[in-house]
Amino acid sequence: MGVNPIIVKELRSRMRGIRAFAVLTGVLLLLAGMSYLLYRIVLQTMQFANTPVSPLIGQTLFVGLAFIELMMVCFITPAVTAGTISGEQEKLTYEMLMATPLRPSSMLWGKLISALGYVFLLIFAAVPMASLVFIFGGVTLLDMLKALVMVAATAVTLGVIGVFMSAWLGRTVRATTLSYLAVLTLIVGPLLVYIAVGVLRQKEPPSWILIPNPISALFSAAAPVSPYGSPTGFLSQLGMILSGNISVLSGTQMGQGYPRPLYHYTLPFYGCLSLALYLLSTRLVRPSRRWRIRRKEVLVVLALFVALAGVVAVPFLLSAGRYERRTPLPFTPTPMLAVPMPAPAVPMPAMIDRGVQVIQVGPTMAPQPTDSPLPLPTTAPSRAGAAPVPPPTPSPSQSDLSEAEQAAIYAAVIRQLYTVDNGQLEPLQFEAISVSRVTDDEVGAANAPRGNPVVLSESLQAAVAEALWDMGPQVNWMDEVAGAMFVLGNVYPQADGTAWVSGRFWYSKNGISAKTYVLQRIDGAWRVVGELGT
Amino acid sequence: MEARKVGESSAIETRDLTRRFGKLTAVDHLDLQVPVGSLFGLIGPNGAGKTTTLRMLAGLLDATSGEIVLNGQTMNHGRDWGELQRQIGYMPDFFGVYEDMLVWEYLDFFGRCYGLPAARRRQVTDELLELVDLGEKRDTYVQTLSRGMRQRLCLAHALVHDPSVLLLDEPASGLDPRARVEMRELLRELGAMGKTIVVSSHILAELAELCDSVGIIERGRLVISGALDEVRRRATAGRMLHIQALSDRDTAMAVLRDQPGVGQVYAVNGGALEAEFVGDEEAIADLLQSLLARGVRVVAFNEITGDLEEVFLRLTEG
Repeated sequence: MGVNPIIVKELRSRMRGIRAFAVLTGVLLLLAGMSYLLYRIVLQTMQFANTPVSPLIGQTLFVGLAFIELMMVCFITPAVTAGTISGEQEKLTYEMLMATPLRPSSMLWGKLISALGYVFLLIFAAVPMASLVFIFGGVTLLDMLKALVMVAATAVTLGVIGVFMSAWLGRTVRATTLSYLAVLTLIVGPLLVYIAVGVLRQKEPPSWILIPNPISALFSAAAPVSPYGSPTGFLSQLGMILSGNISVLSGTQMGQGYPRPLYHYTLPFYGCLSLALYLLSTRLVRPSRRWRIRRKEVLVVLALFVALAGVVAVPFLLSAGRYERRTPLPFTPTPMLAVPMPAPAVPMPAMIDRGVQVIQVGPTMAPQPTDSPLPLPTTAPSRAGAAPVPPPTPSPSQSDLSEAEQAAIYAAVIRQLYTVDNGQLEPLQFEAISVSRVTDDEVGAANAPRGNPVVLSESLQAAVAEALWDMGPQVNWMDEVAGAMFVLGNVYPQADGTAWVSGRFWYSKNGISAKTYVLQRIDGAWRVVGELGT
Repeated sequence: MEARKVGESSAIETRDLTRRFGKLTAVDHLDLQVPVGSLFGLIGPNGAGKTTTLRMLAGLLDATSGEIVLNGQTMNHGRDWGELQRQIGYMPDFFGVYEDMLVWEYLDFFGRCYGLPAARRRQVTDELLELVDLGEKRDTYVQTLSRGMRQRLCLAHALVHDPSVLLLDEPASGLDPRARVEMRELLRELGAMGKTIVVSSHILAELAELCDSVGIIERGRLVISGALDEVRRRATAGRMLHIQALSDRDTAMAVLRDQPGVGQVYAVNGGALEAEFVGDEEAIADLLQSLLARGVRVVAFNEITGDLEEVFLRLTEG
């Protein structure tokens, strides 16, 4: 049968004349104008910033553009799709079509594809312009792709909603009204419920309420995490609130861990919604025998939903390790300490060598008494200051220490940073802290040993979390250094039985501390006994 | 004009065809037979169920009960549904056109809907535009066409797949007299091409001249159907004679009343007479002769025929 006749016809009449191109030009001009405005605003707010400005401009522009584009889709899609089926009925051409062998489902499909094609043209025409943000940096190609996928998914969903309304109501005016209402419900509804639940329960509402909201989903997909803190600018701030990833009230707090981003749930939700409405529409467009459903058709529907579930399940399972919070595993020491990061794959010995080198040429090396000071209570360790440091004699391998010991060391470091070296006069009372599971020696003192980043093993993470249970906050592990409150270094056991570990604690502008601690095993427990350099 | 094989077999046959909309019975146990190659007029007042019947025949509406046999094949939404649809061309009574399309694109679009290959579409489009006399409008927008032209274009759309049966719902409604004549000519031409055509109308005059068989439908029921002459005879049970005599109307009336076979005699305007008469051609000739023999000076003497309107009014009782 060749090309769907409806698509040919729709494209012929839609793209003919000046209207389609006028709209496209208008949309691009609008986007360009908005981008320029955003650019000026960001420049203003960044005037006195002490961080690199360019990536922040890039990110703000990117998030802003994605937001505008989404809004555009929300406005245009219902208008384009709500008249598709009802228009034929109103023009009295529907019967003529139905008298031909053209199947009602082909008509529906053709209408949907041609309408969405137009919306997609508007979306993708903006991509080259949006790519200007790459000039500023701060945005990766992946961020861009995620945002595009989210906007396109929203367009498809809204398109199916519009077509469904059109097929259901049979009147363009009613269908358009109800489609816009549906869009409004998707956007505003979840926010209202979210706020209402928050006010009524007097605590942070569960973020799943926001799943149907395309704006929240877009921000959860597109808002890039900046190594210099949350992407500044009013839009990003708005996005953070909307995306439900960040606590609304505690602005100083970095994060509540590393949950699965909202859009991971929004996409399957949209998929289900679209599929269900589309299948309903295929019944509604039939001129007769609408609800006489054969068994074969039921099976097809079931198969479609199972296929959708499969398509959703695969990425969920594949990414499970990155997101799902694990309950602490039973403590089983494993011989392997850490897995080397795959990317800058420097073999282990080289890493150690480099560490040795740095330590040996370190400028401010002072010998530390081997008979260490008195055991210090963990709750109030000494502020060791620039304690004398012994000449380091790095061990050949980190795996000298059992996993249990490493866990105890890391727990002691986190405890020290959180309870003592936090730069605050009053004790901190966080609900949760985030710790990078990737180590980074760069956070330590200038004369501290430097090694390649490694990823802490799952069991090690669990053991550290368990050791810190009495400290208060819940421990959440993050995939990368960026955005984590706590960044740990590698453990460097010394010949004298001590161990050197770097650690950084950073949760707000005035709460940063980065140290390289010297720990010693005292009475069977690892304690902080001093620190390296300054 | 090639001889039509009227009455040999039925192109369309309905058996007990019934359609209810809630409490309203739009079509009530309709038994319709449309012979192959005939030009069948479906006549009835507004709301009689003509459109409902045609829509069921076109497969757009399911019958509540009863069945439709199309060219010997029972219509159902089975595997042959597409094949059945290809045998039917349907032109609805109220139709729309895609105004933002060119005339040729309009036909091309329906050609695509019927799955015609590109070359065939091009050929059919040109042929049909010639047939419906829109050849020179090929590259204009549909919205610039007049009502009559649109009607012809819509008729052309029902022909793109060369169907054997054409269902035309009030094809002449809303047309000016000239366009109506053109439409009538077009239907004759199609009839000559051997197609079975079902035309519905509430305007009888045009069908009387056009159709070779008719069905009169009222309140969903078929009142009478068959070949046109037969229907007329059965419905009138007698003939109506029109006699115009010079001056001596009373003598003429007296003479007529004496003759066998003459029923009521009416005086109509202009001194003419109309007489109900039962008898064959011979009897009519005799009647004229006796009038002349009695010295009535006859100016005009003829049988009133083709007054389907009267038949219709008599049968449907308003």
